[in-house]
Amino acid sequence: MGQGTEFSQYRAYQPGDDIRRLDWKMYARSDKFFVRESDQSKGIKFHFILDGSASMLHEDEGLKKLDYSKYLTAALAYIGFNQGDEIELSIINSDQSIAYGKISSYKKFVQTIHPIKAKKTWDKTFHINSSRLQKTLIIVLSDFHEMQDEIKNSILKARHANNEILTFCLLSDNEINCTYSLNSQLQDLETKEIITIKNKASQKKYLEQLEKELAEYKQEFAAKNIDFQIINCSNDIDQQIKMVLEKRMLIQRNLN
Amino acid sequence: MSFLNPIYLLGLTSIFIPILIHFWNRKQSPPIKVGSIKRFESDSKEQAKKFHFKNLPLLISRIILLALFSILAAGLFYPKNEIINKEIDKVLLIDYELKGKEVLPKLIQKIDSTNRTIYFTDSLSKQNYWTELNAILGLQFIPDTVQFIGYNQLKNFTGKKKEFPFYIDWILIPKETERAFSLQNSQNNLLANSSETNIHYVQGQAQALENNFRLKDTLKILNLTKKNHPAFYKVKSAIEILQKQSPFQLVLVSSEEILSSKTRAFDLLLSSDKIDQSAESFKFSKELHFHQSEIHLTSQIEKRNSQTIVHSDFTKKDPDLIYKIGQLIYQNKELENFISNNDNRIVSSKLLANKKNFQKTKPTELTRTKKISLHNPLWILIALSLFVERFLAFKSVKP
Repeated sequence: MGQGTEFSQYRAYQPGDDIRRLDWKMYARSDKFFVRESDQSKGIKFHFILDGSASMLHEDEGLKKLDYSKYLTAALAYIGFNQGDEIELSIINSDQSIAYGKISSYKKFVQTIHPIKAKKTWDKTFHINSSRLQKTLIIVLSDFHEMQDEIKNSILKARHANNEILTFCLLSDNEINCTYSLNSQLQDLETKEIITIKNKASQKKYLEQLEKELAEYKQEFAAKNIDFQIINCSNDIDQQIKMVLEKRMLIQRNLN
Repeated sequence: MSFLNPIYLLGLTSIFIPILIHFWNRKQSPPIKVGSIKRFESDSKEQAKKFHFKNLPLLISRIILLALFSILAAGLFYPKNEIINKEIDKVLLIDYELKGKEVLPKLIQKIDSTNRTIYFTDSLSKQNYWTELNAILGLQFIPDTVQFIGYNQLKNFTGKKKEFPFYIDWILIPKETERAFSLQNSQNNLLANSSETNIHYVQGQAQALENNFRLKDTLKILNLTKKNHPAFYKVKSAIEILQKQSPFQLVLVSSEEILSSKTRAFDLLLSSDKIDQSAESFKFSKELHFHQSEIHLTSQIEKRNSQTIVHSDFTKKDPDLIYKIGQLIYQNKELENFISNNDNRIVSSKLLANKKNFQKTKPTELTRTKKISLHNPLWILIALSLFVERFLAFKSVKP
């Protein structure tokens, strides 16, 4: 018993109780001070892991993938905060990976996530920690542009019995469909290499390679019960949120 | 191949414009920043580092298009030598001041039977003589048969011409003069007749005559110069016109008295630097000077600006001699042969002495360099290049 969201009982006020817990309606009716008590819900922890590498600066139609991930994260965090869930945030890049830990309020969450800038590459040395005592839903938002499967391996290592991992592979529409014109010059945001799309065969090969890699991710993550979702940054955020909530409901049922 | 206006080839420097624009665009459009290029082919990555042209076929087509425009403006042509005349037409100018009327018709008859160009004139005056010469030199082409009769002989030549085997094709009448004339076409139809006193033809009517009787290779009716023009001016005009003429041999038959009085002008005619040695002007001419009274045949041979002039004095008065000379000229006989075959009494000692100096002159095959313009093929190439350029430009546009 204690602070929670579901009402359980009233008890008489005792000195030392938090006066914010006084039920004033009861006082009005009875002229006596009563404290409202409710069952403490078990709740799960949301741990948001944002890819802070330079590839997240890829822009399509004026929207960067990093910004999209921020909006999505903030929206999900808002729901979590409203439900009294514990929210944690980590930003990963090789320049400075930061694990912010538990964030106390939504306002502070927004203040934390807003100024995040993407640099360099994924931090191979970062370990995704989650408590084995508390149920945790780890939500990874990344574009999975990795050189040596560092992101994939980090996620696979983080999976254990007491957590669920939800991965969002954020890709722009031009990345998914390779809508660049022939003879366009493309520069890699992380390696700074420049390439020219010579012909349609080159585009076709890119799409085949992308499809193959995404299928591999899905297969490998599915083997460890890790959900892998491809998100087109052209799609609305609310659709993505709905999907996450459905997933969470599923987790709740499993927990119960 | 050569160019009519080579200065326009400077336009070829414009081919650097598309190249500069290419580099400028390349500079202006930075590469698109993307999350990862690892999924693209690795060989494309290597080539991206090297220097290369974007849209190379389009650039080349634009360069070709600009180059073709420059070449078109410069007037590309290729010269082609063509033979103008294998046989040189001859113009026999007989000065009627000889006044050998009994001689002249016979001469005319004989000469005409050779079907050569004949032009003879009635010399009205010394001034008019050069006017007619100017008229001759105003020829734009070599006619096959042109017959002109001056009005002094009209009385003899009106109506059907039985005594002469030729017909009057057209009549050139001085606009300042009123004379009777008769006009008949080549079918011997009498088209017009006039009295001797009332007809006054002006230039416009002469033009009408020309329009009606424009036969093949017929001379145009020429504007006569005014009576008061100095002879020198006429000759000078003749020189300027002569430069444009197709080659012909000018045979001048006149009295030396007449010719000597105009020696200065005639010398100018022959020695003018306007008479150049190119294929488009006549190569040589022969002149025969006859003394009116005694018909002396001189044997002096002169060479003036590659023109061979033979002065012949006839020591014997022989009306048929003119005919003989004319015939020989028309038959292209060597003058040397003529001299050697002739009565030795005629040949003066001077001629014998100068025999070695005599140069054989044969009518040469004249060629003219024709400039065949390549405008039409160039336009076709430009149209094709433009089509290719537009097609490549359309293809390079981002879908």
